[in-house]
Formats: sequence, C-alpha cells, structure tokens
Amino acid sequence: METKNGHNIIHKELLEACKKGDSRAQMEIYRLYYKPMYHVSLRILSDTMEAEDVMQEAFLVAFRNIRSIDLNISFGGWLKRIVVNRSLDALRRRKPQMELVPDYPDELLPDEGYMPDEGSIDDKVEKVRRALERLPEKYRLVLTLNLFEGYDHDEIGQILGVTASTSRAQLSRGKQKLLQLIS
Amino acid sequence: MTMKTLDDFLKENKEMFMNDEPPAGHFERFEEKLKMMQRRSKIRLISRITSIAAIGLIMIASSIFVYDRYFDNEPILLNLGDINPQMQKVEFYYTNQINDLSVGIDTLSAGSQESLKKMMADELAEMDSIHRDLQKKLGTHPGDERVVNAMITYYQTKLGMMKSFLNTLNQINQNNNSKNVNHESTLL
Repeated sequence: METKNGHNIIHKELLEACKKGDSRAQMEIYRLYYKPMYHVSLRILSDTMEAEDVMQEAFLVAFRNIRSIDLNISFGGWLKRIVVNRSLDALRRRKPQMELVPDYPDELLPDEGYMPDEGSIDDKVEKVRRALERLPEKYRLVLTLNLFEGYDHDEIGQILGVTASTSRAQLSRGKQKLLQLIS
Repeated sequence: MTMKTLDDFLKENKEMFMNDEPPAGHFERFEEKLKMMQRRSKIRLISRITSIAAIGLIMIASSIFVYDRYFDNEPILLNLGDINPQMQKVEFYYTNQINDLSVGIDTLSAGSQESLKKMMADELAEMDSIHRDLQKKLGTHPGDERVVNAMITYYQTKLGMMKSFLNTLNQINQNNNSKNVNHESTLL
C-alpha cells in the first residue's frame, strides 16, 4: 500500500507531467480527483449533467493554468476552489436575479427537530440526503461548503461575498431547517 | 436528532454522502474535451509564432517606408524572380513547395471544423497581404538587398506556417480515423 508520502510523490510527478501537457497524466489526475470535485459541484447545482460539465471545465481551467502554480501547495484545494467558483457562476447564470445568501431576519424555525432512531444508517443517510436536496439554496450552499467541504466561515464569506457572521448565522438556520425537514 | 447529533451524524458518515458518481461515459467525454483543448492550444501556438514572424516582416518592410516617403515612384509589383535568374530559381523553389502544401492543406481540411478552416484562411490572407506589400517595395527598390531578404524571409515564414497547418490537420485526421476504427470494432 502507498504511504501518504509515496502518494504525494506520485501526485507531484503526475502534476509535473501535466505542466508539460502530458494528456495521460492529465487523465490520471482526473481519475484521482473527479469524485470529490463532482460531489462539490453536484451539491451546489443539484443537477447531474450540469455538475459534470462544470467539474470537467474546472479541470480544463486548472490544466491550462497549471504552469502558474507552485506544486508544493495543495492542488486539490486549488482545484476545489475553481469547482466551487464555477459552480456558483453556473448557479448565478441559471438565476440571474438570485442573491446567493441574502442577509435577512431569521425565519421562525423550531430550535430542534428530530429524526426517528429506527432504520439503518443507509436509511438515515438517504433521509438526510433528500432533506439536503429540499433545503433552500441559501442554506444548502453554506451547509455544503462548511460541513462537507470543510471551509471555515471566513472562507465561505469570501466565496459567497458575505460576512463571516452571516455565514455563521446561515449555517445555524440551515441546520435547524434540515432537522425540521428530517423530522 | 438534535443539532449536536446532526453534526456528529454528518461527520461520522461524511463518506456516505460523497459517493455520487457522474453520469456514465464521463471519462470518455472528458478525454474528448482534453483533446479539443490540446488542439486549440496547438493552433493558438502556431498563430502566435506566425504572428511574431509576420510582425518581423512588417517591421522589415516598414523600415523601407521612410525611404519611400522621399523617393517613392509609381508602384510596380515585382516578383523575386524578376530581379535576376538566381532569384528566379529561389522563387521557383519556394512557390513550388507552397503550391504542394496548399494542395495538401485543401485536401486534409475538407472535413475539418469551419472555425479551424477560417483561422487558417485568415492567417494565409494576412501573409498574402504582406506579400503584396513586399512586391510593391521590390518594384520601387529592385536592387535593395533588404527587400530581397524580406521577400525570402516571407517565403520561409509562409512555408513554416503551412507545414504546421498540415501537421495539425494530419494529427486531427489520424485521431478521427483511430476513433472510427475503435467505433467500428466496438460495433463488430
């Protein structure tokens, strides 16, 4: 089994080859990274075909600009940011008037919801997944970026063009709404 | 489930939320997009090289412009071969090669994308206009070595550009052929 260090060396070699325009290396990098990148895009766009298209375009953008990046920084982090930005652009194009995270007063939501304990983990995951899909966009975006992609509130604020405290508030409301939908 | 247990549940089962696969055939679609990107960047590189060469030629030609402003006569178009028999051989060599390449490009580009054909036609039209300028310069300054050299550089640049076009078209056709063979073998 590859060590983490071994992985990094292989990745670095592949990325060096990508810098030279080696299409086999580019394809290999795609195989290694497509899944998490597709997941980010799908969570934001909720459309499988559009998510695939945006994810693949992001890879092409990354390969076109790969010469300008320092390979000691995380390629995955850089690529993910491209995917997030392009997915949000696609979302804005879809709804030109949409404000991604409007900063308006709280809705009246219960403090807590509940999810029955019965059922397998798979059932519960499916239930949460469906609830996430039904979640209003403004909440889904912050929840996705924070809980699944690991961005902190400063980063989310930067990505969505809001303050960190707005992002914090939206996350809290989003979780409440999610619990309400699950219960 | 409380807020805390929701957080824990999502953290513990994060992987299960991230196992979506793109629609079937996404590898093939991406491979196609990669090929398209590489083709485009190759063409862009050729354009850049020819543009640089063209700028060089224009600079040579315009260096004679100052002279023309004071000593310009009736513009007569002159070819390299009109200067002397030696230049006639040089011109014959280049024009023959250009004609051969031109036939090759016409044949191979028949089934190519319109955007690619247009780009090649624009580049060649640009070269033709430089040629006309040089013919004029040669007409007004038949013995000027700078103009003669600029005309030779023009032919070399045009040949280089056309060879690049031909190589790119060859590559595109080979890719298309291998794709067709793969497709046919899949059908069989």
